[in-house]
Amino acid sequence: MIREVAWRLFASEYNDANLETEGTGERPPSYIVTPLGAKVNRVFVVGVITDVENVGTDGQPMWRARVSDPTGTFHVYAGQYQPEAAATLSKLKPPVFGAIVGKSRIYSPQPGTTYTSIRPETIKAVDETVRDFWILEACRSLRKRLDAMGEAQKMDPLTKEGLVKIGVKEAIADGIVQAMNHYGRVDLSRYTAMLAEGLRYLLPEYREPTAPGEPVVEAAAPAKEEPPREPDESEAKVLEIIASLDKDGKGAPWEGILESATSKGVSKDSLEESINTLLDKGLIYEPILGRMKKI
Amino acid sequence: MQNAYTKEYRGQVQVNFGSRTAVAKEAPTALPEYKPGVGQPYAGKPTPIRVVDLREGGSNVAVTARILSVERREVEVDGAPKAVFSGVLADETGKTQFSAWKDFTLKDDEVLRIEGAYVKSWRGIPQISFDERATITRLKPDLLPPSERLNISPRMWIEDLAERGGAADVTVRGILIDLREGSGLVYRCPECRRVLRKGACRLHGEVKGEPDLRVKAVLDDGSGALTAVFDRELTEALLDKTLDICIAAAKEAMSTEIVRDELADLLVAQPIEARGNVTSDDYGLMMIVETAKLLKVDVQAEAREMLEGLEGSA
Repeated sequence: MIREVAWRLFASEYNDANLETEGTGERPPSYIVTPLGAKVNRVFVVGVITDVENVGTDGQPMWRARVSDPTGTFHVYAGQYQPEAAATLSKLKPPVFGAIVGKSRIYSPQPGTTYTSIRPETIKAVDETVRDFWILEACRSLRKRLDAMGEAQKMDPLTKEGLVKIGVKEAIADGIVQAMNHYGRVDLSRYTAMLAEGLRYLLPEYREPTAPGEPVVEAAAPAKEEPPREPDESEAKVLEIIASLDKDGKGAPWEGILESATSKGVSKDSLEESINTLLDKGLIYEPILGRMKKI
Repeated sequence: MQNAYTKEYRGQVQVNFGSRTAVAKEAPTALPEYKPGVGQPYAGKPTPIRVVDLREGGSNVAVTARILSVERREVEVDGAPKAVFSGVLADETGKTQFSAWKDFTLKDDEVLRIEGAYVKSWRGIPQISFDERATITRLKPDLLPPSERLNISPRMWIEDLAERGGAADVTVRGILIDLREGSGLVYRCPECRRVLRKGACRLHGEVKGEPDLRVKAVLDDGSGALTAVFDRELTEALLDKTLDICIAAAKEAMSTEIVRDELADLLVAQPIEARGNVTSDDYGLMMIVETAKLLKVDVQAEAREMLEGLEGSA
């Protein structure tokens, strides 16, 4: 059996997927097909692990990690059947750059709702250089699919053979035909914008001065208005408080933030509002309930 | 023959007879006499093919290539000694090993058209062979780039290597996404060089193993994956440590895992460029790495270029 390739793809494309298919053979592998036709069994992801939590029990731990890339968030679950990955996850101190190789998973609690996740095979803490190279590779991969899907949308009728004839690799052509049958004609401009976003993320001339290497936590669809990432005056004040109270690396406790904010003339309502916007902008996160941490 | 059908098999046309095929005898004079046997040229025109497109099983192919090296070897075929002239030839698309089973007085650097050759895999790598059925035409030497240009190791995508079924001396770029079992400090059977498992050899049982260093890693370039094997010399260079130092470290830690862990720290998730022969079998592709280096990529320059291309086309 030939080893499945590890796809480099952005969280936002991965999380858009809701089609699962099976391969052939004695133990058919399962694939998640994305709207752009990536037929994913294994993924390779590098991003910021923003939080790790045991969502199982102490006896039967199930570690969940959130991994941010420039477009969105991957969910990674490691339990007793991924002992090495689970052990690594349990020891990581977020936020940290992490490289994850794992299998694609899709979960559908009810018709119409699907959640994609990753079941990790290996996890490793890495540095920013590795992450940046991953973004570049994810962009290249996305570009290839965008070009192929662009050609596919011009074809009538669309066939795998037709795609192969114009130079699309067979494995990709297969995914594209399945994607078109399931998702119909997807709006490519959304993914072109995602590609441009990924590329700009790597370039200092587009990077915002306050936030080097900072992940965007929410996926930004181009149709949606993205909130400005710069904190305003009161948010900046709150950020400062959170940073100064985070003495043990576990985040600043809510009580302390409230006390400190009140003494600086920030009302409770305005503090709550600021914290919500900071969370939305991805400048802080909640590592555990009741504690805030700067990213 | 009526109602026979034709099919393509490995780039060649085949005639097939099925249940609907009707076979009737014709008079012996209906066709001119055909003398089968070795030495007869192939029926039909040879298929022109580029070196990069050579596939196991191809027959009656024609290539235009430059001989990069050739040497005479004596081998035994069915108990009888036979001379084979083997070496490396190349065109602009790549290079391949060849075996000539007849003395065509091949010389280094000459440019030839070889018609009526066939392709066979040898040790998991497809190579071109030709014998007395082949026609050799010598061409002008400036028809192809000079040897030093052709002798480079071409960069290839792993998906293309998989389709081709291995290749000699290629370069791939990818990420070492996992270390396989048996990486790091290993002990080999003194008889057969197999790596021992729990102090025992699969064939020779419990033996006193000889220490060695190696890496077996999964190299994935986003198009496919192969197992890359690094020998002791390469592993020592990557670790910047000798085998003796690794043995001492393992003794102190009372585990050989320490060497594997250090290699994992160093290599996993890193982009790497590796050059070597890629063989192919039922378990996939394997590269015996000749040279390797960690890749330094100017991510910003590449991103800028791609972004300009994107904005230009929008």
